[in-house]
Amino acid sequence: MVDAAFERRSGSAAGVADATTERRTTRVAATLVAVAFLAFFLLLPLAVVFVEAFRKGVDVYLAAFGEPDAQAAIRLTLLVAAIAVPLNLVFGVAASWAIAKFEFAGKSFLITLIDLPFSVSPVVSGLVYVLLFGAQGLLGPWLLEHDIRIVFAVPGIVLATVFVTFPFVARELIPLMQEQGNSDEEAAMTLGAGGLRAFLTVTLPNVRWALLYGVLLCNARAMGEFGAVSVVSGHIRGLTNTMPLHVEILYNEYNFVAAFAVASLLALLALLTLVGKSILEWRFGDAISGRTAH
Amino acid sequence: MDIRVAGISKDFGASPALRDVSLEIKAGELVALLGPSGSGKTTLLRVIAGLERPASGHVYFGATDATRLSVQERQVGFVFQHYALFKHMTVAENVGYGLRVRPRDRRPSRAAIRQRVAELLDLVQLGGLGGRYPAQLSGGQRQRVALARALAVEPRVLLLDEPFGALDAKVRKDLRRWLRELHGRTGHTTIFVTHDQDEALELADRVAILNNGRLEQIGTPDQVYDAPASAFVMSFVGDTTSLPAIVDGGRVRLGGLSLDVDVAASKDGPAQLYLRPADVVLTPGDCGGGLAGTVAGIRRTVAGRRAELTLDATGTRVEIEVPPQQALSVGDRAAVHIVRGTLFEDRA
Amino acid sequence: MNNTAIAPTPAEGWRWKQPSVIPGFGIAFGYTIVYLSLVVLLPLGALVLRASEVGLSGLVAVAFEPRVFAALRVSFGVSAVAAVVASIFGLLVAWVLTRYDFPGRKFVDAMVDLPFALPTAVAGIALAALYAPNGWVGAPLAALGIKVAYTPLGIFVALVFIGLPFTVRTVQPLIADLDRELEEAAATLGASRAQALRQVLLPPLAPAVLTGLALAFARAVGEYGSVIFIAGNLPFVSEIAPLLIVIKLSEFDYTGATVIATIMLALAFVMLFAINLLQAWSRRRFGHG
Repeated sequence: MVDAAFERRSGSAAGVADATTERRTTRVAATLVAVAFLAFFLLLPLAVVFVEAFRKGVDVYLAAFGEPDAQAAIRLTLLVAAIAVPLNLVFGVAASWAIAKFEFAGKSFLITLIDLPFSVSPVVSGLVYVLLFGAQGLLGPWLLEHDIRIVFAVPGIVLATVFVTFPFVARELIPLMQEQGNSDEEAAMTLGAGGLRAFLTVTLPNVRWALLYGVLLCNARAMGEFGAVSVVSGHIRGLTNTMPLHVEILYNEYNFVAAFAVASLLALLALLTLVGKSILEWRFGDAISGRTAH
Repeated sequence: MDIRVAGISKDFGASPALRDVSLEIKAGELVALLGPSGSGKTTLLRVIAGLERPASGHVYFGATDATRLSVQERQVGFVFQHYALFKHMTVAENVGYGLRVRPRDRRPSRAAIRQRVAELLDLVQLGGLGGRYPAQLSGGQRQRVALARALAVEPRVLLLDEPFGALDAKVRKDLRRWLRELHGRTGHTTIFVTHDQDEALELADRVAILNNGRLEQIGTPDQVYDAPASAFVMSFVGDTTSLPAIVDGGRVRLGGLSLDVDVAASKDGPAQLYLRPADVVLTPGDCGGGLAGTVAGIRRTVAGRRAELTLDATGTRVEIEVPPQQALSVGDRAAVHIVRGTLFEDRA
Repeated sequence: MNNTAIAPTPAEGWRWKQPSVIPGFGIAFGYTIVYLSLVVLLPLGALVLRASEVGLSGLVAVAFEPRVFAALRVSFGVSAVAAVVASIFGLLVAWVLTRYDFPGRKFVDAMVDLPFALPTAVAGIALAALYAPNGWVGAPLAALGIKVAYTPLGIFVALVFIGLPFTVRTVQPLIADLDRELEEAAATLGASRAQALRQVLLPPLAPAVLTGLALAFARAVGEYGSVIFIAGNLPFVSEIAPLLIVIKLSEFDYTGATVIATIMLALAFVMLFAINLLQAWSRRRFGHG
């Protein structure tokens, strides 16, 4: 990127200030402050998770995962992500196709609506489903009559997770596909490809890295969501506890090592997400961001 | 103010950008730095401005050595290729910026700044547009704002980097004439960079031609056009064709002909004969004399017509200007008579 | 937008959708609307419906219940301070990451997104452990007489953590796009580096910083997981609005929960609207987002 050039350029003749960067002392000081701030606010909490998890040794750490409740929480988290991510993936592709490839009135309003779940507190995201499906909710009596449980059961957890991860794929794809325009698809169609074929052979390959990027972020949030899921779950151990909820229960029971052990698994997931995200950004930065060099 | 550049060299990584460039510019002169891209012309301009530091050599502003002065201290007016207007400031704020940032003891009063900005905007014919933002101006208007901003600091030298590069052809021509007039009125020592030979010849008092980081020649437009110092200058300024020739005992031999060209400067041996389209006359038919060849193409130009002739002797193509009324078509036989020519030693 | 669809001639009048040779609009748009309605609009509609039953007077009455009012004040107040602090440091971090080269720069750049990636509950217990009176940071601070965990200061720490990436990520692309000619122009006009930074380079970044600030603030007001472990959750002191919603729900006070949620949702809309206005203004003025 350009920044390396800045540093090199400024390294030349001593004494005279370079017009396009700060003095060396300023640069060093600013870098130190920024890095120290980040280390303090970001790295320290991350380090604490692992240190606390291994406080009583590897055996105790591993024992935390032997608990049936912990295993049930892990299974449920995987299940929820396995449902929520594909749902939002399909939605993201459909929405970006409609929004990026066509011109219609009210488009920016639609984009705002799609982004809406990002601006809603996780707790409110859970609350709306309680108001809809809960015992005193709008559909509550009807559901009770038909013996369908949504809130305080797995369907509620899935719904709340779908809600909070709703925009992730769409918001990665929409700007990219808008930037790419329609000419590739039109070219494919002049060459005789049908709409579906053009989509599968031209559009999807063009956006595949951005799609993966969106899925990665969507998955991280789906597995890690706490507030929304907490409201709809009812915290039934072994049944409606996801990993983040299990962490909370263990922590509140002062079972710190186990809490941090499960938390360390989630932290690992976060780190893997960051690694995957960074690899995608470094290798395929242009293919993801839709920002063309200019 | 006189500007003197002495023995400037500058590298970017491994590739040399400027190699031992020296030139003098007299006060009030309008000088063009002309060259192809990568020739070092912009780097030289930036060295003079203090935006780049040379590896060796000196820059003098009048009698003072400015080499160690920072950009801020040099007090130059620099017009950037893309104008570099501050988008969040109005036109008037842009123009007055150089005065507002002065240390308090040298800063004019607010009223004085306002007055000076108004004068400058009138000078660049943008009076009344001071309240606009750069985004609301046309390309030509932005260019003039950039110029007014550079003039506001009462620069010792005005430096322009491809001043017309980002404009379309029509606006370019108007602005060129206008800049010439403006220079006549204000009399600033002015250096501008261009890759456009027409622009350089039409606008500048003197043209400095750079190639590969070296100064090939500096001279008036007539000098560089009529008496090019090197084969590069010859071929870069104006249209030329070159033919392989041999210098032998004061005569030039080319395809069996012996030509009457001034060879005073040339040693015996292989050389290149450079011809401008007007240096040769074309005679139709296979009648003797001159270099015989076949017409390979004819093109209409603004001034007349240009024929391309493939010479029998060398297989080279020569461009020749022919009168519009002369009957000529592709495939005709014709002969070339060389009236003038310029010889340079064969570099190969 | 480089959409090449053939524009309708004026004679055809206004159309909701421009014609296009590309197929699939119906199914893609239809699916988008149905899914959006089911997952997002219908549930939010339930909230609005519930709130409308309460009415404006009921809304105000609940909002000014002392405990609710105190929670809203804590949430909004601490969030604002935290968002400002996160944005100031975010701007510095963005500048350093984009402009300077130093060993580990890419690593640091990747770490900035940690608050986005780390589950909030994990961040919550980690911060609580760190700032507890016997924690790595809490112990030395306690020795100085500063209590962080279980006070509003703890909420502040968690919200700075959560808000940190927003400004960094909104500002970074703009810093990368800053035209080097602008800085050189300022220098040739005699501006010192400090003047160039203050007057030429930073003002165009202001809209992006404000956008980042608004995003961080909106996120902070709604934040739950990373706060509740460190906050101590003392009513009237360190109890945040989202927690109060959870408490009301557990007491089956759906109305109370709805009212607080409505107030927070209204704020989210206002923030979203403000961000859109800000970006539209910035596009008009500076020709970029």
